[in-house]
Amino acid sequence: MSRNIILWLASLLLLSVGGAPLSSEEGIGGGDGTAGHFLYQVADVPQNADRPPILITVVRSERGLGMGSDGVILPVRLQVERARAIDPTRVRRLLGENRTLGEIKSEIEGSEEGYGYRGKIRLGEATYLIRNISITIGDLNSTLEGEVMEPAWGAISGRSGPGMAMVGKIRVETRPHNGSVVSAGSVVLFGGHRPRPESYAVILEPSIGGSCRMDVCLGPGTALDPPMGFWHRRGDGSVLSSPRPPARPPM
Amino acid sequence: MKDIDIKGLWAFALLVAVLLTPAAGDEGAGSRGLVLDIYADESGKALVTGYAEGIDGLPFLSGSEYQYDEDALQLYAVTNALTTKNGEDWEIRLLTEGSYGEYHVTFYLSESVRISEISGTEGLDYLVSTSSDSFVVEFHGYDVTEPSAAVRYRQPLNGGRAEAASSALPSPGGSTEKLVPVVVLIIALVVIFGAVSFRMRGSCSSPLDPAGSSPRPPAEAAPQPPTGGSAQGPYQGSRAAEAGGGLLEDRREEDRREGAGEDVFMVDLIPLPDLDLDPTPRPERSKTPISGKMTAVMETLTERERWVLEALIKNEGKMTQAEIRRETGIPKSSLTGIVVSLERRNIVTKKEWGRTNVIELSERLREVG
Repeated sequence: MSRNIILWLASLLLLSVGGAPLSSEEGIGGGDGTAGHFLYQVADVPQNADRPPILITVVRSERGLGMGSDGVILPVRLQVERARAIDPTRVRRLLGENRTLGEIKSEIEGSEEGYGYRGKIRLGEATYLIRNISITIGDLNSTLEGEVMEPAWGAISGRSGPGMAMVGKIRVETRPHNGSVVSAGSVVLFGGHRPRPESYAVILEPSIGGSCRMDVCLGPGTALDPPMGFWHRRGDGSVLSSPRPPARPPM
Repeated sequence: MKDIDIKGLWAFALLVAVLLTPAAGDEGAGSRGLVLDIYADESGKALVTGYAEGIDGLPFLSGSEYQYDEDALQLYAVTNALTTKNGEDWEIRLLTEGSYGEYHVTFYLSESVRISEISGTEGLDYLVSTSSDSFVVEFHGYDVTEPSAAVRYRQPLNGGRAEAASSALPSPGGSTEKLVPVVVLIIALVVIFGAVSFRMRGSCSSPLDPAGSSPRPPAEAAPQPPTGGSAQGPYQGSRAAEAGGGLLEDRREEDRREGAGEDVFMVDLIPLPDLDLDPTPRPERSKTPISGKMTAVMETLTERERWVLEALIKNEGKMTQAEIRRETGIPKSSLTGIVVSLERRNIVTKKEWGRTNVIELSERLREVG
């Protein structure tokens, strides 16, 4: 069986099971792409109280392949960061007050600003940003969904808009498998200069050294510990499966 | 279908991934991730925060104060090493060493700057937008080696805050030379002003002196320019300042248009807080109490609008436009627009007073709520 046929079959299966395909209608009018620049959907992920708040973490850094509906295969890179919203005006004010680094750090860490996700995906040679990201963590999987934005690279946009348009949607589901994790899902592009919608089945795995160590990012005893979590990423990038949570006794 | 064998499907997906990823995976093997947010203030000082898988490729840290958490890969640094200045032209540049699989660096610059050039090494794309009174310049790249991202921008010298803080920066030799005549002029003017104030005790007071509750006409408020052949003191001083040109020229021209009088120009030119021509002790201006409405309004304002409001609050809610300009460092042309905008929103009122304006907090904001 040729490699292309394997890919096609895999994509088909993943689309039907792993990542529910998105229709182009779903995304139309789903966002104007002009909402805030860096505040995306705020993640409801608790912070480990024993550690100082972390400003920016890379929660996903994955690479793999995408197969288009027309059979074209493209390299894919996906990165999602979780970042705390910081008001630049406030930072400038703190700098102007000649505060020490420690003081500035405590001010920023002590602020009530929320967290949000920001991401990007490269399909072939084209880089898109991902906005309005939501990450749902389940018992055995986590699902990332977001809007694919096409920025005007190299352009200076005005105050009225961030210079990008929503051109698609992404949905990727990640599961552990044999000490590693694998993500699969779909990217649908339906806007911009495209004469017709394009869809890609994507298969990704964590790239080397490019991911957050989950225990550090979220902290033990929080979101990824049982019963919520199922994996633990070690410093060398490998992944250990956590034991499944014990079944609840019947009421 | 889902019940058939989901595990099998995932195994199949993994098999495909394993089969295929070497082609893509080799691309950036051994490289690391860098995600930094860099906030620069008007003096060129910058706060660098973010995620860095190692800091050995960040040479600017060697001369900077920084903290790096090796577990969480979090970097905090305050540095002057990223910016350089030549007159009004500034550049902020992040030079990095080594290879980066994922590169995402964002510069946040004050919206008062004018961006003149953005450049990045091969493989970096950039995107510019505005947000929260800032220009946001994002650089993105994949598998880049020794990437360098730079933004050149122009920041007007008459932005008072920028000037005050710029002394902290190592300035290029050229600009130091330009400042020498200005410093000499300032010293000369201080001497002349001191002599005049000694002679003219009690001859003038500020139009907003609380002792005289309502503004007086300009002729009464400002010291008279000397007449006839005995022209000495401030007037002569202002001539000297005219000869200085350069940095002082804009302000001189602005004041002439504003008609605040030569002496006001003198004070404006050299903002020395102790140079009060009125020898009688003046009660310190009390702060206007901050009402609930004021706090709510503050949150809707831009950075510069807030400066104006803060200056008014500090000064009993009433100041001349020239005083606001002096206190905030906002250029006259920008301030005019800001005042109009605040007036339109019923945040301040503007009254003509002689050839300048008196700006007051509106009544609705003065209500303590």
